[in-house]
Amino acid sequence: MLEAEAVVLVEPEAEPGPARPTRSRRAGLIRFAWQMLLLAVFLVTWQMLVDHKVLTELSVSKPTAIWDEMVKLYRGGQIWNNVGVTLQETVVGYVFGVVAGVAAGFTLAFTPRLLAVLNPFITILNSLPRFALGPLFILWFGIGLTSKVALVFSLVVFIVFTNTSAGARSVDADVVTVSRLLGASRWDIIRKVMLPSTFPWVVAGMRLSIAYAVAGAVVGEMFASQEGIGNWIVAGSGVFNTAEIFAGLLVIAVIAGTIDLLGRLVERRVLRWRPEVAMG
Amino acid sequence: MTTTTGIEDPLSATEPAKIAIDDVSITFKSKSGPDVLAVKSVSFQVRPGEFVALVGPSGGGKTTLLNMISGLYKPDRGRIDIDGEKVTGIHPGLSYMPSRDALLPWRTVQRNVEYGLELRGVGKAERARIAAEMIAQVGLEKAAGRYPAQLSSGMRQRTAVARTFACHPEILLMDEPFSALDAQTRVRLQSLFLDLWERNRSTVLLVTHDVGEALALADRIVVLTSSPAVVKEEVVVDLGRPRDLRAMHRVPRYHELFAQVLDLLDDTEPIQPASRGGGNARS
Repeated sequence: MLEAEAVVLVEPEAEPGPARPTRSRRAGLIRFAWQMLLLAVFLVTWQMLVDHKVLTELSVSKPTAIWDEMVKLYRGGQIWNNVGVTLQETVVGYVFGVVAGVAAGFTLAFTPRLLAVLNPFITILNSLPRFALGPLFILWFGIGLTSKVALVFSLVVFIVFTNTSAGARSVDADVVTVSRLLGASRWDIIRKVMLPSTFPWVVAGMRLSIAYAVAGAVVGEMFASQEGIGNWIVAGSGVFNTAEIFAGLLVIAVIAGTIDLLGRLVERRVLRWRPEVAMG
Repeated sequence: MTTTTGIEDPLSATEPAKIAIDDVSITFKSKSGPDVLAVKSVSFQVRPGEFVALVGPSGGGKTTLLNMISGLYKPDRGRIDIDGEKVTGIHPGLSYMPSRDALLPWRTVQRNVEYGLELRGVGKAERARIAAEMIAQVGLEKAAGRYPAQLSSGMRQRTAVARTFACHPEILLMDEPFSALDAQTRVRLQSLFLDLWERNRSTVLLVTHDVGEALALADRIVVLTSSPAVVKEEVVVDLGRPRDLRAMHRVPRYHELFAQVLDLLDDTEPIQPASRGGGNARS
């Protein structure tokens, strides 16, 4: 579906042919049909394998049972509450992480000596599996919202920081020289060259960290919590309710997928000029 | 022979030099190994509205010389004057074209051409008007709304040319601006560039290793040796103007000058120290 936007290298005289968009839209539809077919085959196979006792329902559940569980949770109203809690943890931790990561990335890119001093510590912290900090955060911040926000933050901040500082340091030297000679002040260089040129790196970091943010919130809830999707999965596991676990996973997948889709739409809008984006 | 040196061809008192380079040297400190003398005792002058090409082997200190004229580097010795005043910082009437187009990829063609005007505080409506005019002059009207990633390399360099002339620069410094283009596109862009320059008559200093390009475009060629750059000779390109770049190779004088510059460059080639190999074939 992205080919419709593909860049065509044409001399100014040439007009883009009208046939292109229609052809690629049809290709997109055909691809979508195949994807739906694959999903249907997967679900039907799963259902049949369990119905014919090839796989046990206790370990893998089955699509119809998961659906019934979803309907039950929906009717009971718990679903919105749990989703709301997890989303809140995700969003708050994510926003703080992005803001701190961008700020730190820019600051350190402009102060290379500070970066040189801090670098080994950053590397150590970054290579530490952040999920392992979960129990510590529970200890520090309790079993409520804050500990999950902290976990999400610790995941997001490093990804965004790394990307931002890499982006800020990879600004095209020729563009800076031309700008300076055209009369750009230091502030002009920051505002009109550094910021826009780092922006795609920040956006890439933001997109990459979405999945980690959701994971951080859910894993945090699994350590200790009273509500949220992670809590719901752990509860299902405690009573061997496999359908409930799968229902939880399904909801997480839908949330992560939706946020990622939104992120991609935003990215496509703000980074129209990027060849990679334009090419899909 | 039309060969002259700066000393034999003094500028007339009535026409002061636009750019005067007087005994300029610069050395770069190197962390590993000895310091590098990049430019050594270079002197030459450029008259207002003159088109001078600096020709010499690639990586031989020509770009460093441009950077000192633009005020980005300070020479260790000697001085550079623009309009009779010593260069201490970036001169406001200056424009620069590197070999890569150096466009801002997040700006459309139109906004890229406006960029220099914007930095110089020209109002929004005025710079949009000037940019549109320049874009028309380089033949990119239909591409004005496109981003650089959506353009061919020739179109990108045309945008860079439009951006450069939009500011009406008094002085134009160019560092192999057409070297990244294929032969056909290069000639087309050189012609376009000359057309625009004929109307604008900025003082141009073009760095190139391409002798043909230097002869096609410049009024005078300063031949430099490599590492360190030292002025070898100055050659006046008496080919008249306006020039038809496609017909250049049919002009006998062009070939004479070509051979002359090539010979000068040949002499600059050996850079071994004299101490090594006493019985060197070269005398």
